[in-house]
Amino acid sequence: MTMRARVVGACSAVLAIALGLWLYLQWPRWYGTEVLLPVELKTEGAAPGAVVASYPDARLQLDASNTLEATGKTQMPRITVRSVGVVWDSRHDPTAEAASLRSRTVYVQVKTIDKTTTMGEALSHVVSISTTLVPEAINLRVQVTATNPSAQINLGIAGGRLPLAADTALAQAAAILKVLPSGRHAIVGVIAGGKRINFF
Amino acid sequence: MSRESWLDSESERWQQDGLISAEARRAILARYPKQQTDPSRLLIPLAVLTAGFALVLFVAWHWQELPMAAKLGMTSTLAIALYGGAAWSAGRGRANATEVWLLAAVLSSFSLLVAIADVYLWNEPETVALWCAVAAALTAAATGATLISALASALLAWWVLLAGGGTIPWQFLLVFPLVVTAAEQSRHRAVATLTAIAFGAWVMIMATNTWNGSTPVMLFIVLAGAAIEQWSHQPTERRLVFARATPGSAMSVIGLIVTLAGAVHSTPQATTASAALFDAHSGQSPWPALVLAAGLIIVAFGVSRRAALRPRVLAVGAALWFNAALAGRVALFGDWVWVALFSAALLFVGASLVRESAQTNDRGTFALGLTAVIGLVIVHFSSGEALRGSIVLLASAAILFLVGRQSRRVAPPQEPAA
Repeated sequence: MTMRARVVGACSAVLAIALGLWLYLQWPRWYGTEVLLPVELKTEGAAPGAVVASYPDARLQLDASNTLEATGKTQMPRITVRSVGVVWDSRHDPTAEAASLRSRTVYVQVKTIDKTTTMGEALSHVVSISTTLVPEAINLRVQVTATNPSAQINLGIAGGRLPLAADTALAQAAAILKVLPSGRHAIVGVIAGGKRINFF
Repeated sequence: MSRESWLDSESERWQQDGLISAEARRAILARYPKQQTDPSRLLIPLAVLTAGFALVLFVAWHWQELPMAAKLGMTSTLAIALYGGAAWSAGRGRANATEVWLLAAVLSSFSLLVAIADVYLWNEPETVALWCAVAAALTAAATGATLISALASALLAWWVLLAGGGTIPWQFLLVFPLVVTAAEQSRHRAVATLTAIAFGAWVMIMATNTWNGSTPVMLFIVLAGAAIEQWSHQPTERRLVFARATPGSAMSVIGLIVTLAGAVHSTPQATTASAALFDAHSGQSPWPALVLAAGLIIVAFGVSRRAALRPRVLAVGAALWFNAALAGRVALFGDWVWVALFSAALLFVGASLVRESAQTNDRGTFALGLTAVIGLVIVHFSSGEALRGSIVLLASAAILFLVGRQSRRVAPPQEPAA
């Protein structure tokens, strides 16, 4: 095979990777179910023209009996959720259990509640957590980013740095997520300052 | 040193050595006239570089304002254009220029992948880094370009260290064959070293991630150790290029350390997890234990091939003993019995190799033996069992002393100096 053919082959392979990545990321935007989750938007730590998003629903307190008392930074407000199946094994040492949960992929189930966004659309909240998909529920597949022996866990829901204009009102915001049946999800916009801002 | 200066000084030495006459030297030097260096030739590449920086700065400054289609269109067009340039250059048979085109093309493909992640707010830098490494490795494997091979190896090593903190970087096994293929084609020492560093980083991350876990990784690490050790016995020219730079004895020592470390930390939970891999129904398959034993015996045979008959018997016997002890630990006995048997086995291997090295003056054998003994000391010193550790270490010291004394008695007389 000539060198020219090899270069063309390498180019095709790299473009195939790029196309595959684009399809992978575009897929939830095409076929996902829309979910609105409350989100906190902050300009601290973000570049100009951007905000940092964090979800109150990503800070959970699991319903476990074998926990150590929370101290210091762990005293942040948390949503107590029930486990579907065994997520935190109460028979084990809480420190070891926390370590085993760290970096693991779990599923949280979201459900619409009475609250609405500033535009009157129904908000959702995380209501339970499981290690496998729960049928007939909207599951978010997330990674556990932090744990402690008090059975408190933080989750990595899609967000991070979002491109928002500096004059956007950031209070009472909601993230617009698109969720696939597999739990894979993507943020496609936010509702902030009484406006729906789509990123795509 | 320039070619002209080199030829000038070398030809003078040839003339002094009587290899060529003064006329021949003059004729040779006349064939390669000194070229006038023109510093202004540097200005054009510098201008191109500056223009490139200006373009990058302009695009980066306005990046947020660009629509998604513009971002993706611009980066993909750039990548295709640069790959096209590489193909055009390759068609003209200009190897060095093709390599530079390819480097630019691969870097632009990185910008395309990063742009896709950026427009989709995909907050997973480790995954993006992995796909960049895959793109570079694919290009390197297809073309064998040295610069790209080095870039792919370095990027893969960086990704392993970046992603390996919390999760096990299994994906390495899919990308590494591409990097090795590229290193084989490139045959450059720096690429070989970078590839070896990437592999070393992966082994280190795997070991630290799974040291006390219940995953079956240690089983595979044992097998990797066995493979490395066996590889060290291949003639240099039959080793893959990334292992060619490493001496056989060093590879053997690495194999021994990796194998022993894997075996020591192959916990009962890990073996059960391994069993589940082989037998999903009962989880009680004997295959993991057999595979573990096979790995250790392979290493023992490898070690023994570096030594003479008596230490060979000792080493193989010790490995069998070790395997029996390991199986026993998992199935029947408590930790105390296993540790004692393991210590004895390791001590036999180490001491016999050290003794053998005294008779053959083989530094590789000496290093192997010493590694085994040091490994034993570390295992006990760090076991947290102060009393048991002290007793075993004292017993080990006594055995080493006795073996050492016997070695001095049987050591052959030194050859008289000529």
